[in-house]
Amino acid sequence: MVDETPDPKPTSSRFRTTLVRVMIVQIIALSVLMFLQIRYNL
Amino acid sequence: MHWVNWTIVVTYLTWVVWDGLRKSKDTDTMSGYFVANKSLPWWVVGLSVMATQLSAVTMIGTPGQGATDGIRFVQLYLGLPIAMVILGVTIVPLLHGSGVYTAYEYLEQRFDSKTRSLTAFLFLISRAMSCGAIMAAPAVVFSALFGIPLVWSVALIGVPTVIYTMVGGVQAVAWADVKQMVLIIFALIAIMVVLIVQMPVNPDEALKIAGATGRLKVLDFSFDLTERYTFWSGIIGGTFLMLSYFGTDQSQVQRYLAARSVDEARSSLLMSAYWKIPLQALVLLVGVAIFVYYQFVQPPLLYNPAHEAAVMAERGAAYDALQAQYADAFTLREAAAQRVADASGTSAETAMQAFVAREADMQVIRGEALAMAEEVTGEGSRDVNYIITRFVLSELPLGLGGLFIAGVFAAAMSSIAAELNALSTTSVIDFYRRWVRPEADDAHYLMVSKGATVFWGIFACFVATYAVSLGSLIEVVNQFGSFFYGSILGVFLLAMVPGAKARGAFVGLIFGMTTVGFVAFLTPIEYLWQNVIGAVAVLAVGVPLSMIGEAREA
Repeated sequence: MVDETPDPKPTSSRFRTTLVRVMIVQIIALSVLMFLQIRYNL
Repeated sequence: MHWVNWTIVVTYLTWVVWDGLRKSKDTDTMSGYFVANKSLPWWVVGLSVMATQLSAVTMIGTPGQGATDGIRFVQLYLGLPIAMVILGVTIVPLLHGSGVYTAYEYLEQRFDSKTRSLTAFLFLISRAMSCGAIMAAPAVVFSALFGIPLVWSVALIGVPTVIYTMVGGVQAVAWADVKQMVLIIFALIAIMVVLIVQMPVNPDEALKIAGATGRLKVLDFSFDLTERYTFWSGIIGGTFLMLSYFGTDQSQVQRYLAARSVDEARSSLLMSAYWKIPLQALVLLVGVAIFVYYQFVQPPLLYNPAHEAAVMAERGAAYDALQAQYADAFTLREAAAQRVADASGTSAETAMQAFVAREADMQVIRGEALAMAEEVTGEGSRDVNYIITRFVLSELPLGLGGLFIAGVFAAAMSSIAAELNALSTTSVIDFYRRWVRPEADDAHYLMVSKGATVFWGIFACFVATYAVSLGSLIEVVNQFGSFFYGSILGVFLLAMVPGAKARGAFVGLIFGMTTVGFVAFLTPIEYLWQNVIGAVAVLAVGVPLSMIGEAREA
């Protein structure tokens, strides 16, 4: 067992950093899809 | 199917079982069998989480949905990245650090045995049924495609899965998932590349044709609770659905309980957060590309070969007449599609409108053929599920069809293995060890767990065989599952509320399910919102009831 106790470190800053990174990837993916919608939709 | 394709499928199935068993270590202890001694690297857990969620329905049904309805379905996953990040800082450290084998075990630590047993029981009934439905979907398609009895195709999927899940436990399941995920992505990318190369028009022209029929419409910002897929149902309802699924469903929880540390467990979930939307978009775009491809190559009137054969046998003349009309309509639509591809400026809109009209003409004829198939066979056509399989076997180079079929097997097996593993673990840990034999040794529990895997495997095969004759059971199961997800999530959220008590959790859970049942049966509100309603209802009753209890005790 490597880790049996709850992570004691504050997670708010890590949460923010991760949230920002994940959201950037999603925004890029959705931007590509939105581009397809705007450029090609009737 | 050509023998080369069969060889690829059989070789793959043999390799997955053999290698899954080879990679299983220390499966003679409960910790090794149920949570891999918390030894799996984050990327293995991450791929396993993704493979579990990507079922055969995704591989077969989603490209069909892309071909017929476009890519708006991707909105369902808008909440997933948010849910993964929230879980990473809430439930993951809570469960990973509490030394439990199941998510429900934690609820006894936090509340009481009653709440634990009720949530575990709800998981067992909903997942056991859905496991059968997950198996039924590809089995029906394989049965029709290859002309083999349904029982055989159920056995072809179920038997190897039960073997490696039973013998190797969570390690065999996770390592098999890694290979399955790689194969699935490789097959999808290969199909997309071949489609682009074989397409008679260039990608820009292909997108113009797809866009003309609205298939590239991604986001719908209307706030309508009765509309299934909108931006808001995806971002709000989808977040709650994903929180419930990844945070409280044992088939997912068991993956990240096997990670080496809390951080690795979080990283494994974030892999899905990063890649789920792009992957889902790829699957849908494969379907859209097939739609465009069939503008220039005449598609079958019915994609389901079994229904096609049945209709030709019983109503040969009428079907031949429809096929002749379909061929004429296709010629007109092909010319209209070519005009859309060639058009520019002001002529584009006129060309698009003409193309949409020709497309509608073809759909009218296809609708007549589908109605005929339903009359002759007496069963719902579900023709959309045969679009991609028929395409890969008839239009792609030899070998690639086999690779895709192996990918569908992979997707089915990875989801079923995770469910069987979770069902067996919950049966043993939350019921057998808790209520029947609390003091037995590891060897005894492992023996019972392997027996439970076989039992649930047979149960799933049985449901899969009967799901077909019951017709709409798959929809019923999906609805049934959505009753519980939000309410179970509500209990876990309540566990994080300081001062929340067991009585509040138990009564809140029952109230949540009752509320969702009311909403599901008596209102037109779409199912994604039920996850929000269930969780909120549990909290709305659970929190005040806990406070009242606390005040009385004081």
